Amino acid sequence: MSDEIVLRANDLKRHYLLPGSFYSKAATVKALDGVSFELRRKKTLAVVGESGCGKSTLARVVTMIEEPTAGSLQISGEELADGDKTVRRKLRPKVQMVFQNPYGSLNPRQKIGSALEEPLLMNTPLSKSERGGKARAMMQAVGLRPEHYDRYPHMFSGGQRQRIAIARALMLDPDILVLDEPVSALDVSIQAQVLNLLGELQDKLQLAYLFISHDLSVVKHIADEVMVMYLGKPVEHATREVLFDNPRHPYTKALLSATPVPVPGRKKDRVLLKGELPSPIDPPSGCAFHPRCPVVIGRCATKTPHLQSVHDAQVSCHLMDEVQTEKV
Amino acid sequence: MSEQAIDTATDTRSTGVRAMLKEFWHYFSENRGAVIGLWFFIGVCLVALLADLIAPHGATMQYRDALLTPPVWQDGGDWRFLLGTDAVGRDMLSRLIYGSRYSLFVGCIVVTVAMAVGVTIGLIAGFIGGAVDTLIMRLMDIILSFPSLLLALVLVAILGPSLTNAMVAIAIVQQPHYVRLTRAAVLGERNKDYVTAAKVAGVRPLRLMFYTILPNCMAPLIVQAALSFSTAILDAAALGFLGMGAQPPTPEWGTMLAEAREFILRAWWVVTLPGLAILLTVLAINLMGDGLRDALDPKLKRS
Repeated sequence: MSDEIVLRANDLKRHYLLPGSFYSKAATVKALDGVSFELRRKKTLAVVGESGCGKSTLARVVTMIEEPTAGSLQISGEELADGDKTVRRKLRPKVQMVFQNPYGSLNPRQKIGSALEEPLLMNTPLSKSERGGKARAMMQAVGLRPEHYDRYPHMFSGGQRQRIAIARALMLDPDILVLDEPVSALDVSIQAQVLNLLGELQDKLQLAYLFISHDLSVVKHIADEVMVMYLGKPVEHATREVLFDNPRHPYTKALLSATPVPVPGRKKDRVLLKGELPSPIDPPSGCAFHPRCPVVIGRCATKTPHLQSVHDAQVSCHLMDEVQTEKV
Repeated sequence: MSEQAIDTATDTRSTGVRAMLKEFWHYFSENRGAVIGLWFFIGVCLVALLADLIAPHGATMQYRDALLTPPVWQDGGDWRFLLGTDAVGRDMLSRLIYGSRYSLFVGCIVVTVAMAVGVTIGLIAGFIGGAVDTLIMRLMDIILSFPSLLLALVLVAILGPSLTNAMVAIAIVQQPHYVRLTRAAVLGERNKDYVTAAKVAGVRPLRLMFYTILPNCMAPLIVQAALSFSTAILDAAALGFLGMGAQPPTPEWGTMLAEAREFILRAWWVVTLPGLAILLTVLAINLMGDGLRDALDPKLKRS
């Protein structure tokens, strides 16, 4: 039961067309370029990477805000990448989202009660009093008080607002919650509270989380599996233990070494990356990471690597071929 | 848990309309001109409402024994006619009092019509975007490229001179301003997270436009409404003066000005008083509008 797959994405792509003008050619931004993963009930998949690597696009595609350009996306076994409107409407309540900035994600002119009831009003035939009852129950579940029902968002702190956003996302009883950096806008002390709340809710409501973050310490705390992305493609996908204890892809190693350790005097061997994230309009040839890779080899510039199983992880790197062949 | 500590720290501030009004008044009352304007405007409204009770004479009642009587404080003044009479012996004060009704009526109707139409079109342009947006905005640019009074004049000339047609013409001339303002505000709000959140919750486009986005665009629109109220009064008076608005013997201020033009050297009061009435009302509303902007525009707010 707890291993039931609630969402399966296969080779999901999302490209944006930039129309050409007099001065420039039309270009395609490959924001998401072939991502596959599965979400299981009560499990958390964390997606990490630099800004611009396609994390948020992934969130927008999974929540059906945007349609994928190619690939398949199945929710509870039903395919929705084909874009059938009725299927999308039916499946929409199954996937809900919590946004990064709790100051922007709540309508400033809408009372909390009305914000919580809106999803029910739109998707269920419940009466007004039933909606009210559900909203109040949910407020209690996320640690808000009954008198908050009639208040406006500007009267709440960031942490409380994020609780409201979580409550709103849960109103439709979803299977999947997409969390787009849900704690990065909050104080560290509040972060822990919200993360604990998310953990409790996951157990209680059997939720699958797609947790998008760039904060690896948060990911280490909450994730079951981790997917590292670079320029729209996953470069490493493994369970939390494997990834944090034994990162294989050079990019993952660099990311992990960049996490600050709150121990004074303790020095780490930092893997410093050269340069900036390349533009997704014109990604480097071969392995997209090769211009910045510290251990680049000859064929990286020409041949595109693919995700392959290396022991208990999936890694997309040419160096792994050597590892494999050495073993054999 | 520490949650409790946070919850008890929650304020007990009052919510809803009263708190909003209080905050509004706090910012509004900082501007003295605006407060004076507001009181004057309330006064005009009361005068218009109670015209039947305060006006000493009927608006079209002629006193043949008292043609062009000067105001009381001048030689030859008559206590029956506090502000004198016009060329056919009608009491100026009564006509001015009844005239306020027309001015406020014109202002209200024009603003309501222009705002309702303009906001809807602007919302559609901003929300749908693309070719629809371009089409609507170019159309509005065309309307805006004419001098507004001239365009109103042309429209009235086509529709035929009357107060109703003047109001329709002024509403058409004013509505592009609302369209632009609404579109700009909608473009700013459309991509915010709360709109996306509402989409994820399954809110349909129509509700998204009018229920989710529109209330967050209201502040500049209220200010525009207040300011265009005075423009509407002024334009109606101008049309009346040119003989294209309210027709005599309607005691509309602009029409009164036009009728009295030939007596400007002999009897100053028949020209000056309606002009003064227009000036003061428009000034008061403009001052009030400035205050509204200070109070409602978040960009000008000092928190």
